[in-house]
Parts: sequence; C-alpha cells; structure tokens
Amino acid sequence: MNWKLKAFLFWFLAVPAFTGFPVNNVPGALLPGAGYGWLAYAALVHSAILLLLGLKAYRFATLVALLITVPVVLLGAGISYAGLLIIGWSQSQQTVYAAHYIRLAITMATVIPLALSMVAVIPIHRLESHLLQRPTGVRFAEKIALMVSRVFNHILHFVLPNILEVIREERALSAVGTPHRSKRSETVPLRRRMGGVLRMLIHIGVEAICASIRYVPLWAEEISRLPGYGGAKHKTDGAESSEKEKE
Amino acid sequence: VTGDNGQGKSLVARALSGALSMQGRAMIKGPQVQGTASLLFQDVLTQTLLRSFDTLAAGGPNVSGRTVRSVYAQIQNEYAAAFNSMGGRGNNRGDAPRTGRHSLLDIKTVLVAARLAAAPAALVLDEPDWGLSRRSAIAFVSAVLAAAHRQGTPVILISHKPWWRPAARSGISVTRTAAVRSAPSERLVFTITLHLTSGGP
Repeated sequence: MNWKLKAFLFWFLAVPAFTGFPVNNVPGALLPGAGYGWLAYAALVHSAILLLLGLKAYRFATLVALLITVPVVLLGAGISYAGLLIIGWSQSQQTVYAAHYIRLAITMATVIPLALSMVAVIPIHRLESHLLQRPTGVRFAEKIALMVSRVFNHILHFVLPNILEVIREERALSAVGTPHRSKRSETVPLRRRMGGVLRMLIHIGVEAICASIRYVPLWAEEISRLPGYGGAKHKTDGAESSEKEKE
Repeated sequence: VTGDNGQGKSLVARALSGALSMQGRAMIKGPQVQGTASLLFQDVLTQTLLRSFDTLAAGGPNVSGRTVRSVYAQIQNEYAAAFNSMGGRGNNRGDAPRTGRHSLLDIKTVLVAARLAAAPAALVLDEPDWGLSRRSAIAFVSAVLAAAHRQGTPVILISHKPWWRPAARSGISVTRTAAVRSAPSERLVFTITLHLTSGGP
C-alpha cells in the first residue's frame, strides 16, 4: 500500500475525532465517561496504526501517548479532587469528575497516536528531496515547509537520540527508581532525588530547545537561496538564450 | 579499540556504556568489578546538555560533589605534571585557574571525574584527543589513566590514531560489513566484528 492511500485512510479515520460524529452519538457506556462509541473508535484507531505502520511505529506512538496522557490525567484528577476536598466532598461531583477524566484519558490515548500516525505516514524526506530537485523552482510556502521539515527531522533524528543517549549513559533514570537503580541511590532522600530529576528536566528542556534551533540560521540561508517558483525556469531560458546569442 | 572511520567504534562504546537503546546487554567483566561502563563521548559538548562546569562538578544522586572535585583535582595535577614533562609544542588547554574561563579540557576532565567518582566497571574514552593538541591529549589521557588505575578502574580507549598503541595493554580492532537481508524485508544489515589484536609496548 502506498503512502498516499495510507495517509488518506488516517485522515479519514480522524474525522470522528475532529467532529465527534458518530462516536458521541453511540448510546451506552462501559463505565461513566467510557462510552461504547469512543471505546470502539479507540480500538479501530489502534488496530489501524498497528496494521498500516507496523509494530515498531505502534509502540512508539503508544509510548508517546502514554507519556503525555498519564501525567495530564493524573495531575488534573489530583487537582480536581484536592479542590473537591477543600470545598466539601460531594458524591455527585465526584462521579462527574471521574467520568470527565476517564473520557479525557480515552480521548487522549486515541487522538495522540492518531495525530502522530497522520504525520509519520508522510515520507517527508522524499518530499524534501523532490522539492530540492524540482527544475521549476520552489514556492514561498514550500520553502517554509522545507524549513519546518528540516527542523522536525533534526529534532527527531539528532536532538532526541543524543539527549536519550546522555540520559541512558548517566543512568539519570536511576534517580526516580528504575531498574537501573543502584544500591547507593536507595539511601538518597526522596526530596533530593526529586530535586535532581527536576534539574535534569530543566537541562534537557534547555538543551532540546537550543539544539533544535542550532542550525536554523544556516538552513534559512540555504533555503532562501533556492530559486523561486518559475524563477528557475526563466533563469534556464535566459541562460539558453544567452548561449544562443554567443553562438 | 581501533578501526577506520565509520566502522562502529563509537557504537561499541555506546553499547558498553548502556547509552544505546538495544536488545540484550553489553557489560564489562573485569577482575575487580563487573557491570556497565561509563563513557566520555567524543562530542563532549553534547554530553554536557549545556550544564555549567559547576553543575557537572556538583555530582549527582549517587555521587557527592566532594568526590567529583577530588578526582578532578587529581586528574588536573597529573595533567600538569605530564604536560610539563613532555617536550615539543602544543597549547596547554588546562589554564582555567589562571583565565577564569573553562576550556574544553576542563569540561572533559570534569565529565571524566564525575564518572570515575561513581566507580564504574570501566571507563570508555571515545576519541579523547578531539579538540585538543596532541601534547595536551597525551597528557590528558595519561592523567586519566593514572587516576583510573589508582582506584582500580580499567580504561578503554577508542581511537583511530596510531600513537595510542604503545599505551594499550591489549587491542581490539573494529570492522563493519554490510549485507542486504533478502527476506522478509530487504533491509541493509550491518555486522560489527571485534578482532583481538596484539597490543602493548
């Protein structure tokens, strides 16, 4: 199956996520907030990613979705329930909150992998190569797209892998008690460990931003020198006519 | 560990130090310690994650800043002695105490100190002469070797430069071959082979 058909299928599959139709209209729910419509839609989306993009891409998309969904949902629910405790515990409010956060978790766990797949299915490197070699030149919007895709590729294939390598080498995850944990780290107080994790996250954030934009001036210069749409053709014509004049 | 450019030396270093995401586990089994090695990247600027010298010297959850600074001072002293004992030309990059600015050598030294302070199974130096003059690089490596061997940590030196050869107890050359896997997907598969070679002075 070629990428255009895959892209069409993913974009078509995204219609219910954007419009809410028909997933919001299906009656019945397994749990409060977990309607049958959304559960079936989530199963369909995950099956499609697995079948069309393969196990490796599915694992990555699911991992990213979990990394975003779990903190957002837990933090949101924690804040809401803390507020509920302060203003006075109410059974009806508690049910409303529970339904809201279950719905949020299902929606995020469905929409994030779908959005990643919609981008991942596009062969950006091939499109970039096609644009750079096109004899008729490059439009302004296409130059912007080239710049965006280059920064995106740089982040995906250079910045993130490098940061991950440094984190793995430093056993930085041991600070939060992963399988890499050493015997010594158990004696470190939790407060100090969490402080270390926070500092590390700040460094990673700063490094990620700086490394992502490191080559932007170079690429901007390079891409701005590409011939504009129609310009290359005119230039070629002009060169041909001057050669004829010389002859 | 020697080998031409692109043969996979840095990949081996990353595997040994646990920096690589991979199936299985590569570990060092030494006479005194066994486990995963620590690595000084070739591109140390990336390895810093833009952390300042003081942040790197402050240690981590498993290592105190005092230990890191103590190892740092040892390496710095050994470096100065080795650098001054050598003849020839070459910029001394270890002049931070005088200028107040930290050089690439200081960053390399503090990264190595932080790793040695954690007593790893081995210390891997990936192209340690990157960004240094030959004289400075030789002084730096000999200083790191002295500090590491004092605490019983073996050092694995990765380089494609021949002049490290006499310093090595043993040698491994890395070669890479590529082949197209026929079925089910026509993917290019790289095989990295490690050959034991004779080493030592």
